[in-house]
Amino acid sequence: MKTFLLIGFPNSGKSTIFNLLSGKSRKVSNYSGITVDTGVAELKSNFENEEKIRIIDLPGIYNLLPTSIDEAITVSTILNLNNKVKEFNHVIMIIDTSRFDASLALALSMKDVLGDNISLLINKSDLLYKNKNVDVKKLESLTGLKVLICSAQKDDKTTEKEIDMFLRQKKSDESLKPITAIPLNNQAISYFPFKVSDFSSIEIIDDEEKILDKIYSFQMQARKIIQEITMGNNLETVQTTYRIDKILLHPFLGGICFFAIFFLIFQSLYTFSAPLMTLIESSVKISGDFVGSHLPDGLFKSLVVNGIFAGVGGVLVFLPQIAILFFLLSLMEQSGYIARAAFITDKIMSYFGLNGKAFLPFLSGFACAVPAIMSTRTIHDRGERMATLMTIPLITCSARLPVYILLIGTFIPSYKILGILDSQAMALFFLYFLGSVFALFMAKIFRLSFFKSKSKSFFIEMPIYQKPKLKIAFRQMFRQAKVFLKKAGTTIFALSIIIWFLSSFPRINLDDYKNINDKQIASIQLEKSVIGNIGKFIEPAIKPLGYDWKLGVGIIIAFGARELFVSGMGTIYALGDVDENSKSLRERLRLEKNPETGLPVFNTGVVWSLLVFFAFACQCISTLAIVKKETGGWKWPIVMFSYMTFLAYVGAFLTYHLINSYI
Amino acid sequence: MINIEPLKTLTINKSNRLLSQIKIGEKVTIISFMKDLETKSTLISMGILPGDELEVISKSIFGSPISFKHGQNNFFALRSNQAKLIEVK
Repeated sequence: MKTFLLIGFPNSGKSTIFNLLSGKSRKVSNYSGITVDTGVAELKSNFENEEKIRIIDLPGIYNLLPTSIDEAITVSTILNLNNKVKEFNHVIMIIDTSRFDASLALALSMKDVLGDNISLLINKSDLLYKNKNVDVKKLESLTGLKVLICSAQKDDKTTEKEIDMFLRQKKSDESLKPITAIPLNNQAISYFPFKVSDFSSIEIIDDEEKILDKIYSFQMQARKIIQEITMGNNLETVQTTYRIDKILLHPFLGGICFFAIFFLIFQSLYTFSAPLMTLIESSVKISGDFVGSHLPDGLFKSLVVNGIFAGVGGVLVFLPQIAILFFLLSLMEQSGYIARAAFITDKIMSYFGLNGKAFLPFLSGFACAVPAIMSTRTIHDRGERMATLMTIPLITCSARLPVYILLIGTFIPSYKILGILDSQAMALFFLYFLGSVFALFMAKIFRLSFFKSKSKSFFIEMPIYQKPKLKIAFRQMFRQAKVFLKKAGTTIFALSIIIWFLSSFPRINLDDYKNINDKQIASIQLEKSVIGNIGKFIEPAIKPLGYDWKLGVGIIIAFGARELFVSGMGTIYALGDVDENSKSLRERLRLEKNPETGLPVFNTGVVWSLLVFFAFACQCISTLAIVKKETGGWKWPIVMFSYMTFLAYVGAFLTYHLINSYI
Repeated sequence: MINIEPLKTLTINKSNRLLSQIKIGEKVTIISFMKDLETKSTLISMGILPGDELEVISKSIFGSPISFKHGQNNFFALRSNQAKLIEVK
């Protein structure tokens, strides 16, 4: 099989082309630094062709002198050092018309290193130079390389076919090796993620200016070529970007727009999902009742109704929120606004020892901490990168959303603030805000202690605004919905059954409990079960936070995955409830009473204490695993888990006691 | 050869200024980068070179970062402590 590398500037469309040709769905957006790892896939057309080709998607680079880990992955692949791609036969350079001369300069420097086994794929032809404005034949003769011009974002069969055919023209069979050494300094080599064992293709130069002069000469060559091959360009998109930026980057208006955009996202997250949630909730209820009525009374019925329907069903209700969140984030990312948001937040970030580049990792943290932690690879400075990485899990990820929505929707009364703002949406916005503020605050502490460094730089490209494609947003939404459903159908399904067993056994001897009603028996059975015993055991530790033993169990199982709090509560409360009419989890929570005082278990203090606990606690095993992988040891995951648990406990304790003494 | 100067005070040529001093809306030409500029390899690779025109689009409310339009069609942003290491006129 032949291997083709896709190499080009950040945000030049490598992943879009990769997805188009392979049918994969690597994440794409209008911002640099989305791809931070090696993507490998076979061409879709391999089915109908004898020659098998695989393509490699790599992080974008500006030059062959890496200034961060993601760039170093690409450069080390060219040097045959990447473990995932031992060898390659051809390189497709992606040239972006919005940065035509500079990205051509990178292609020229690649030709200098690898020779003629390179082709040029001119992308984004819809932006600045239409096909007719570029003299492809002349570019081929001036560079000596094959050229194709396209707009991969069109995402249609014709474009796909064209690019596929273009790739298949290549006849080279031998694997490529650098023919001239790549000049690097020690700083650049320090970013290499793979061990440099073979220095034959590297020339170590300490004088950076010599390397810069080389880059400069390629830039001048590229400019000359571009002048000869282009005629007339379309600056309409540039004018629009200029005008929009005058507002969105305006010293005053910029900040107002920033908050408006994010508040709108949370508001719609709440408003649009409400009817869908009710729909799912009632479907789960109806199907649960239906299945239940066809099963004979007994333990098996309890397993199905209380274990599976109440557990998994409780989590499924939150599918609409997850879908809407990812849909809206995708629209925003595609537009090009993220780079502007990085600009707006840079100064504030700098007070906390970070820079605007940390905005994207933090923003991806709203979806999931795992890819967010990987995206910190684009941050040049190690201290800034580590401080960002260590604090990302404090950002409200989508797994917290079900817990937040459940508690807020059930217990925070809904009314209008100032006539327009919904109180529940405000509570949700506050929790997102709380997580973000503490992430920054902790980042500062890390920068002052473990990760000191003196980096002061911030440089960011502002891509030309593009109209977001609904197709891409829907694709992103469906993919994430699938991930969520898969998790509900596998992990949460399995754990719900386990939780049911642990809360139903050992069975009590009914002869010991005569003259009491069914409801009391159910609650005694629950208390004497394994879960009940565990709950009772930890109760002293969580009592100061305002929780009873059932909530304690909920928190413990949520350390496996946060959604388990919802499914676990669903099962535990369903088992304690013998009413013929099944209720939704929300109704059951509202009715739950403290057996000693007769007052509701969930008062304002308990609800907020729980919310704060979930905001801070590191209840995610995948996060700890990726931190271990990215930092190469157990030290940082342990530090992360400890400081977050500490924050959660102290935060919940203070919240509970403050609210209860004032309300 | 590219124009990279050691850090200097601008006493030699009074008509030159630093990029950080330029007001919103003003257009200037890059003269040289100073040696201490951290991002110069990325700037040069982006094709932002001495002799090119820059327009200041906006500054953050705190004065930093600053956003620029470069040449005909590129946009980027820098912190003011880096912009003051770029000599313009």
